[in-house]
Amino acid sequence: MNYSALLKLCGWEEEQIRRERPRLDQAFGILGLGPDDMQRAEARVIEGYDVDLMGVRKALGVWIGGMVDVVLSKREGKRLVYYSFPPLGGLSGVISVIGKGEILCVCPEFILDIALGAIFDRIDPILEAGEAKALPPGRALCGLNKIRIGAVTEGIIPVPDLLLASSFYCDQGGQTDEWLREVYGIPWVVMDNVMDSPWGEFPNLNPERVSYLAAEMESGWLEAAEILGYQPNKEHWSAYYDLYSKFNQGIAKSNRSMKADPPPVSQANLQVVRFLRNGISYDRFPEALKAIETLVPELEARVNNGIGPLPKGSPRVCSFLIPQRDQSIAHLFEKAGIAIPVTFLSYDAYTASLDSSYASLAERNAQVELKRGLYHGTSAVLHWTKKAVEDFNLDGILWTQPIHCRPMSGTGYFFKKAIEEELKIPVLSLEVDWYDNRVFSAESMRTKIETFGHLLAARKAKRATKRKEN
Amino acid sequence: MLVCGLDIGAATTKAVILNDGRMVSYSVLPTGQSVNLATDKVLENATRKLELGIADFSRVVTTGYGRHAVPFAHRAVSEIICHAKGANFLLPSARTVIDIGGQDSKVIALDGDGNVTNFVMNDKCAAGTGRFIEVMASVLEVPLEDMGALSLRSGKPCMISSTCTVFAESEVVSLRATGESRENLIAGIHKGIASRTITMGRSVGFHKDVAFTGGVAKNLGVKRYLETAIGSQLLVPEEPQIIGALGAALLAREDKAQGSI
Repeated sequence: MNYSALLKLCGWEEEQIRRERPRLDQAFGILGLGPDDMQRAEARVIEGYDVDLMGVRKALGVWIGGMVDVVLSKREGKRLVYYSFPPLGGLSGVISVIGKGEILCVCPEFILDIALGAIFDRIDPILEAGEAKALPPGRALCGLNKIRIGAVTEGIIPVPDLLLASSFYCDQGGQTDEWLREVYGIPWVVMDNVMDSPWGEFPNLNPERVSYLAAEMESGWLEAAEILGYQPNKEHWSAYYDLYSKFNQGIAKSNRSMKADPPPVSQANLQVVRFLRNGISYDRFPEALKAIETLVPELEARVNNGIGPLPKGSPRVCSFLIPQRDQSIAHLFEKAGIAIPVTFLSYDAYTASLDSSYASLAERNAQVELKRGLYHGTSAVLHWTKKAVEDFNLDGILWTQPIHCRPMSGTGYFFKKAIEEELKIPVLSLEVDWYDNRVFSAESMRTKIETFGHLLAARKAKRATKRKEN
Repeated sequence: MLVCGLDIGAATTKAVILNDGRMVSYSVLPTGQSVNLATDKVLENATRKLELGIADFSRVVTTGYGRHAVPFAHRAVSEIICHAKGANFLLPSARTVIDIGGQDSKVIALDGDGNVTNFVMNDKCAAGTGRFIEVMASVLEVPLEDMGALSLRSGKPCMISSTCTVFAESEVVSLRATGESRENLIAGIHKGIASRTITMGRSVGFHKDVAFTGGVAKNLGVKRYLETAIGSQLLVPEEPQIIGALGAALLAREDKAQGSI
């Protein structure tokens, strides 16, 4: 089967393709991907992504490589650990570090969603299998969890040796792991917590919450270490921090570039690079780092030359997350003249607000999780969104309301009201599913998106006229 | 200067022709299976009396769900913008437009110049739209145009609790089997639509004056329940179905005046 053209398009070198060919043949066979799929994927990549940017192409290649790794892991004698999205506390990262070459620690549904979904458009049968086995359709159940169950039960990915479970952010993730544990007898480590922070507390944190979360994470580490037979030491942690902080520096630099007018790249492309830290194993991580290190100067060059997918002066919005399986939503926004320079999940302002007085490693990690905002609660999401409006000179907010995400689905109306009242900027709330595009149609959103673009442009023009008059 | 606005909706296609800012003709026809066919027919209908052809229009702007499918259009604009523009032209005091069409419903806030300042539109569900009323009219074997008048005769509207067209259909069938009158059932259906529209539009608000446009604005029952919920009279244009097409035509005229090509 000829997949060289696709892989080269996705940043693979000839030598890498030659070296990995037996693995690729085997993995694509297990995944049921044939010549037609390769051709379709090639067309989808060209249509959906900014292939002038090698950093974006390389990132797509890392996702494909990551998918091959997880599909073949057990056949290659590796031990396999799955963690959920959003990941908690760096444990998955440090397990990747200590088990280098022997343990593969990944978020498989995230890898499959991008590689098999966004690139190959072959995720629907996996979603359907997940629905048939455990999580029925029409009941507001998360697509990511359906992918996890569907892929395991269909034999697309192996049954893991350990599950790192948490119901802290979403009860469904924990319940999905519980299902897998019951059916396959997989050991698990559970790290729990609740989002019961008082409104108005953020950006301060209650130290007791930090200590409690740290204790949960610490006991999780100990339990995982016992099951895997590895005890993470200081060197492991510093190797983890070193690698991930380099990646995060890349994210910070790309965020700086996205503050330019026009932003140099579509957010749909950036997201696929940034999310590499949320799913890929340590073994592939040097390639992920290479992708972002390639992308950063490419973006800077575009900024210096005033190049971007939209004209200078286009309205700018922040989105929480753009559906990654379906690039057409992000492109609909661009066609309506709206730039998305930042998403909540990529915004890194929290790093400047960290308190250095926390002594233990677990407390420091717990603090990071809570300061990011997602694990703190809706008031924290609002806090960072408002900060992003200032930082990125935004004209509006796009709230991609995930109808099947239990922690997020209830907040749309409330979020819109709070932002519109406090910041006096428009909010467009769109009902989507970030991981399953069977339940919405990008086309059906065209009217709302076009109107929103028109509204933002009119407001921006009015403000510019007023400024001139003054 | 002759300009044309076309609104290709889910249920009907509408054309409005303006000559120097004055409406000289309009037409409304079912969209049917083919957008192109419907567009040709509605234009033929609207231009027949005027003895005009497409080439005579200095600009054509389209709106509605089929707006991007008309090859000779100069520009496609969302129906939310067009409804605000059209309503502002006919009812300048309107600051809110409730538009309920065949497939969707919207609440639009607008300024004195007809610019949209906020809006909300239903998501993928057909409940609360013209399609919902069509389904119920068919279930109850009542001509669509009689639904409004019949509901005004109701003494005690039924409670239709389902928010889904399919579930509501079953609910209506069950209630009919218990002997509920058609009038009460239809009034319950209309009350339900009004209630869903009010809930949806709460984030935008219903600032006076409130205009009611779209095909469902012809339904006196829905209008009455909306008025009761909002607490004020709704302004309904003489032909509420053509407001989107009128707005498109007005934008065509503006484009031409601003020198757009």
